[in-house]
Amino acid sequence: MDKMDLTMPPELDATLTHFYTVPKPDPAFAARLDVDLRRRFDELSAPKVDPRSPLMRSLRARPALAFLFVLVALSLLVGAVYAVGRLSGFIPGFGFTSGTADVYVLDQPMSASLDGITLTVEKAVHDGSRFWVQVRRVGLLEERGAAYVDSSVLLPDGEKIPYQMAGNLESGVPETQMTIEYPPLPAGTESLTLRFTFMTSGYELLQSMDIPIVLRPIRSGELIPMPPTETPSLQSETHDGLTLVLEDVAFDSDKTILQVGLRFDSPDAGLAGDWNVVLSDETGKSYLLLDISPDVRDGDTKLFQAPAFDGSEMLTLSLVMFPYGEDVPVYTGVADESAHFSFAPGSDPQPGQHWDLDETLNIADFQLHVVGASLISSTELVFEFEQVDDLTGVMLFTSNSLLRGSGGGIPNQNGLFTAGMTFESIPVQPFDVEINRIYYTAHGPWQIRWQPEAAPVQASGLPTATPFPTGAVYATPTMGSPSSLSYQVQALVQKFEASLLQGAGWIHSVTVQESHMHPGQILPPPYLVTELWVEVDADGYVTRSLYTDRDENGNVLQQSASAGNYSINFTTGDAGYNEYSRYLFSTDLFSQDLAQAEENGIPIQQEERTCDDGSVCLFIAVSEAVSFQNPGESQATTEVGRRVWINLETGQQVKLQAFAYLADGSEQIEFTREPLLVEKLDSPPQDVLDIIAQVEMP
Amino acid sequence: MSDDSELIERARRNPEAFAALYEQYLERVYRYLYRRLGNVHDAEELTAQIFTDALEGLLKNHYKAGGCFPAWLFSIARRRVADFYRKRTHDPLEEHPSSEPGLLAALEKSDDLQQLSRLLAQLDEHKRELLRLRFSAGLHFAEIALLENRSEAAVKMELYRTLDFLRQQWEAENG
Repeated sequence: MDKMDLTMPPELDATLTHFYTVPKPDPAFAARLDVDLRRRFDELSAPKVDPRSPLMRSLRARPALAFLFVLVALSLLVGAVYAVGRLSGFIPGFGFTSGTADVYVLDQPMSASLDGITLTVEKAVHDGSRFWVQVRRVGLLEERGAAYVDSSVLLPDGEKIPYQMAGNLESGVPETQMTIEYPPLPAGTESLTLRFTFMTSGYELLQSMDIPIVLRPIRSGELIPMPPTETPSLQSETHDGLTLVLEDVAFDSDKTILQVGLRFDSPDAGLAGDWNVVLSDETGKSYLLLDISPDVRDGDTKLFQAPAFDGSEMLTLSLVMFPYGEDVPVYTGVADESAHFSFAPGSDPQPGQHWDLDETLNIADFQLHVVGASLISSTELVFEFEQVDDLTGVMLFTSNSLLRGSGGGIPNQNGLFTAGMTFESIPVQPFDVEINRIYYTAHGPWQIRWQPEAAPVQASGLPTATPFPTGAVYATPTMGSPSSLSYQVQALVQKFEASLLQGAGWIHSVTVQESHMHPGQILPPPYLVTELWVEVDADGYVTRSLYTDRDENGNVLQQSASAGNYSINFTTGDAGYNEYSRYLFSTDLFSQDLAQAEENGIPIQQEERTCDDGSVCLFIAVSEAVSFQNPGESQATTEVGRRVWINLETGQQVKLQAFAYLADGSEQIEFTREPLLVEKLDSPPQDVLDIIAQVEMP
Repeated sequence: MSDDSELIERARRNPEAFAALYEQYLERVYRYLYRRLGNVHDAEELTAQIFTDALEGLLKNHYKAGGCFPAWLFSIARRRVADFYRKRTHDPLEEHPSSEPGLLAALEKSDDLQQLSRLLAQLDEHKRELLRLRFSAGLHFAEIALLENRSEAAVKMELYRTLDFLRQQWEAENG
């Protein structure tokens, strides 16, 4: 086990090692998967080969040659992937191109200098539809009397191609760069000369500078350079240093690809959590956005696949960060050297000791008021800060060598937030506490309104985000040897669901959950009503669904819908394929807990009880001893568990409760969940169907 | 950081090279999944999906040459697990949905393991994930940092604090 300079007790070290490294795949499974992967490898390469070709037939008869053939086919496949990308104009993880032919890039940067001005061609890309170069200029043109620069391509046969578009190379700064775009070059052009002609304000020729460059085909796996954006991207208003940007869009006959980014005023800033976007039109209709961001991602840029548009829609792209609404948590690094305060723990600090502090620091646009510190253990010091305006937390640091770690802010209910520091041992000398990051709330909305282009009639071959999965049935894991109690519970579940799952139709259920709120807790809210509309087929498999979470006033907190293998969460913006499998509708809330308890030898209590409505119920409770203390709470938790009441006549699980026991022996109900309604109908209300219909398939 | 670049490039063309890559990462992926999902069935199911995704990703050039293969592979794993839980749970309205094998899943029978599982239950999901990535998946700090979109120093610091917490609690409970 990695000790990270920590000396771990040998038993803990061994236990951690065992816990994290002992699970090993079954050899039979590993061997099966190996075979499956080899078969998949062959399948992926097979479409590149005409199975009816005489060559293939001869190869089948001559297996010794087959391997060589596979290698050739795969090397072609790599090229084929790029060809698809080029045709599409978009390569996942690479970006957009607009061409229909091979992509050529600059072999190496080339420079030329004349009278104190140096031009360097840094990038060049020819993708068949356009040729663009990025040029850096060092030296003031104005000193040479130049006011304008013209540019053209000189081909080896003498043909001259003037530029189509260019940025401003003449600005009065000593160094700048710009992108120049030219018409497409003849196919296969690999060498050319870029000519830059400087002219006076009266368009008199001053001098010319020629830079010969060499283009080469892009290599397998090579990133296609992206031109810097010369025209402003579509972007939202900037609020509190954050802007939502629609960086690029590609249209195809059946889908649209959006590249969406976040821009921060500060380079060290970011959103403190995952973000998403939702896309809707002026009628309120939402569009399914599949996140197809590359796997090695830049957290501030995402790629989404949307449906095709007819060009008449007025779309709104909105930043969402669940559950924060339009007030999102942002962090930013603090470079201000004055952002620190001194703390003197004294010569003999003791756990439980508290210090009243009164320090005010100005950091960025915020005032940070330090009001206290507490030593909560022999090594952990927690500072308290007043929660003022939008400042919600800080990250602390000290150069004191005893520091072992630090944690960000945790809001308290009394208008304070805290930030902790852990030491090898608490320093007895005064030390400086530095603020190296702050967290604050930025207030939106961040929305971009724009009208998309009409989808082209003919497909250009933009890649589909994910292959549509086949509907393998998910098999619910079963226990090794279920007990009679488990069988009884499952039998009761089946009894209750028998009428619900008989024949195709719609199941409508409403469940209410009341939760104990811990300090700083946002979700779940204290009162939550979940309404569910589920369409099941004749076998009980879910085909369409609509989930709606509401608070006690009926406000929608979260809503998501699915149709077939697609789903969209209208609140969080999450959308995509339910790739895993088809699944059966179930009302069962407790079997999994029961199975785990049985597997692990956890005590189970069962008895018949009278339910609130007077019916006879099977009561089951499982619980285990624990020892932890939630931040901001006065007592440790000593036991946690769950219990269920099952109506023995109907089989319905009428109440589920999560509970805990605290150090003083008192019971705390974490939540109570009760079904208010479960019914089977032929069809749902039209508004339910209307919402589900918004799950637009890409 | 791992340097499998030559093997990875060969794996785009050669099934034997991919098989070697599979052999090299199978245990790490499986261990990670087992610790996230808590049972053999799901761990095997997702292991198969992840390596199939990785194979297709490599052949379709979704993996950039010169990139960090372990981080890419485990980003697939994390996405698959997220899909799995999304599908299974229908987005429960919870602030910190637990992805450990559950409140009641004491993971093994020995006293030490039970004690460890109790301590791990006190950690938030993010810290548990760091432990899994470091020790089950065997990722280097830089690779975890890439996955987490954080600095290597930040990852190292948080993991250090987490281990220190476990050490303190362990010692407190065992005298």
